[in-house]
Amino acid sequence: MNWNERGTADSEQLSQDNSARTMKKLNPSYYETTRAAQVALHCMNYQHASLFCHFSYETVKSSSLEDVMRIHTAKILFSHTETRMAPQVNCTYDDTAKANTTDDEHAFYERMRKQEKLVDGKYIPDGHGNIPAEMKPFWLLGQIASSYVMWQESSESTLYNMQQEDAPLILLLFPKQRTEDDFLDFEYVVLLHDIVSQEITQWSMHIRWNPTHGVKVLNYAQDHRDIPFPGTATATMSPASLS
Amino acid sequence: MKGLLAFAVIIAAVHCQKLFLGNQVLRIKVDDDEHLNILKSLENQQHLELDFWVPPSKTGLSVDVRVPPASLQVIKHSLEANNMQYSVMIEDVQAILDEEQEQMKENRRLERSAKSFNLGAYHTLDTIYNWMDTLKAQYPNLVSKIQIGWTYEHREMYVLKFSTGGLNRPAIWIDSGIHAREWVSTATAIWTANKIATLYGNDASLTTLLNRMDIFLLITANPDGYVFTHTSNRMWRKTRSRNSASSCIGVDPNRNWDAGFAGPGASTNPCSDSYHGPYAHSEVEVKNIVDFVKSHGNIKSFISIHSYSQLLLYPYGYKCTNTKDYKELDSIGKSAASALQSLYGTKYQVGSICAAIYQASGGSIDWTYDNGIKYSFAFELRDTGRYGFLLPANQIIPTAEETWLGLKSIMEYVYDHPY
Repeated sequence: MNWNERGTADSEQLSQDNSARTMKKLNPSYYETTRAAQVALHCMNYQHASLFCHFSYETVKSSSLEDVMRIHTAKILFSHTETRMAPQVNCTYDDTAKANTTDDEHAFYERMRKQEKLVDGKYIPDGHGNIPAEMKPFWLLGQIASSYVMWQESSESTLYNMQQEDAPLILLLFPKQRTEDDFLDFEYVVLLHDIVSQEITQWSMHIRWNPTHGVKVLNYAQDHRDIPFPGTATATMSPASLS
Repeated sequence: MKGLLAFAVIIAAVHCQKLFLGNQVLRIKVDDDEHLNILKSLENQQHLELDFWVPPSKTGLSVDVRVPPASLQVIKHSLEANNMQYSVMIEDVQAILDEEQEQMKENRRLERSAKSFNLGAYHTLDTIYNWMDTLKAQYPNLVSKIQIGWTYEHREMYVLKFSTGGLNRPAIWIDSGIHAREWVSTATAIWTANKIATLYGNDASLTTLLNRMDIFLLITANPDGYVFTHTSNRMWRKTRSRNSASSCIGVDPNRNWDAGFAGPGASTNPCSDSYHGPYAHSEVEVKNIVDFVKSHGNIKSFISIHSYSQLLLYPYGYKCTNTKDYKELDSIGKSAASALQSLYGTKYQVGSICAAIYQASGGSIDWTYDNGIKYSFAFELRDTGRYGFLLPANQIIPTAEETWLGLKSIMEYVYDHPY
């Protein structure tokens, strides 16, 4: 979407080497601001979030794109070139925001490593929004990874998820755990909701995680398989006991 | 009469017998003293076992008498022989008693199910429709159910009417569930219906409002889609109508209204979740509401409930210019959002559709506004994306409670500002 259609100032013309550009003043309630902030948030979550702590922000208060985060500065540059690039985000990170959640994460990690059988989960959350307690870490893991996909897939004309939250809309989870060296690998199928088009798109992701190095999305692709998700679906996870 | 029947029922129930099989109740005209004397003498004949519900007292007053089957022929011959006019008021007393028993059982069942209906859970369409009947039965002097038409798949579309009388009073319209996957909007509407019914007579402001205005509440504006989210695809949004030139099903019912129809923000692709449809009001579900609103002609406020995003919106969506009532609508919206936030701290943003989300043509509240319903608003309920459409059921009641404060704020303003 071209900002000009909104009757605001000329949109920025960015070259790939990010030469000088003019900053625009935007009404914080306009959705370009929240779109941009959303992208920054996804970046934040992917790079810095841990399983049990990830970021959200309160109402965008400032009026320029330069200062969309409350405690961070994110410069968001949407590429206008032909080949679509992920918006570049520089997240300056304030260490004091990192919560001390490593104990929980390590416990979960050790528990998963001890699994003899592969974990196979479905419908997290289920049709009624329920997430059983033992499945919550998988959900959080998927949210963080989805942040990456949303960041990669964002452009000015999409708005993955919505203004003040950072999580993907739905996680249809098939975590298949493999232990590679000191990592856990998962394959997820995730549903993402784009507010602008209202479309729900399905993505498969190969995720790697350990508590020290955090989450990495090794690869992802849009997934066109017909995976049924009726409202009556309930969350399942096997092997049944994850303790 | 009713008291006597009830008494009879109790007796029958206690004895567990069908005491009144074949009994008839006759109404006998008393034209003169001779008739009166005949009836009085019949009264004294114990072996006839006549049971006078209205005993013989004076001429001019009819007499009602229950006659056991053994005495029927005798009595009727007597009356006919003496030129006494009578009519059979009740052909079979036991049949009436049986029917009453059934009704009482049914009412008790409805009462039980009304008390046991879980407002904090998501329900199927059938359950919701049954519950509407129980609400109606619980509050017969306030709540009625109107069918405004059929869906594409031939399901009834029901609107609950909250009214204390009058003829075509100025009214407030609330609808929810036009997008099938937005389950919390439907659940909130159910809670709200129950709230309105219980508050009447107990809450000064709502009672005052209902003494002068009606409230219409369409709990599921897209029943076909709602059923489909339960049976097949939890993420379904549109109607379930067949498209002529495509294998893809359904039209976005909130792009199908005649307000900037087929303009920006709606798709021409039948496979899209924001497909506007072949023409405005092509969707029968939308047409039903349009027809109702037009024929009612006295709706003063139209409020559509959606999820998710935590927004309180007013027109326009189809164009990015403000309405002439922008300042007033914005002020109402901000007060409502503030009232909503006061309960649990849930923050809503207030603005026109175009400014707060995106330009979107063919929306319901744009049509209602352009057709004279000034106070047209849309809510986007919890949350802001953590769960999105899959809002956990334990958030239904808190969402409904806070939304009620916002709705009440708007309704009170509408009441105070007739036009």
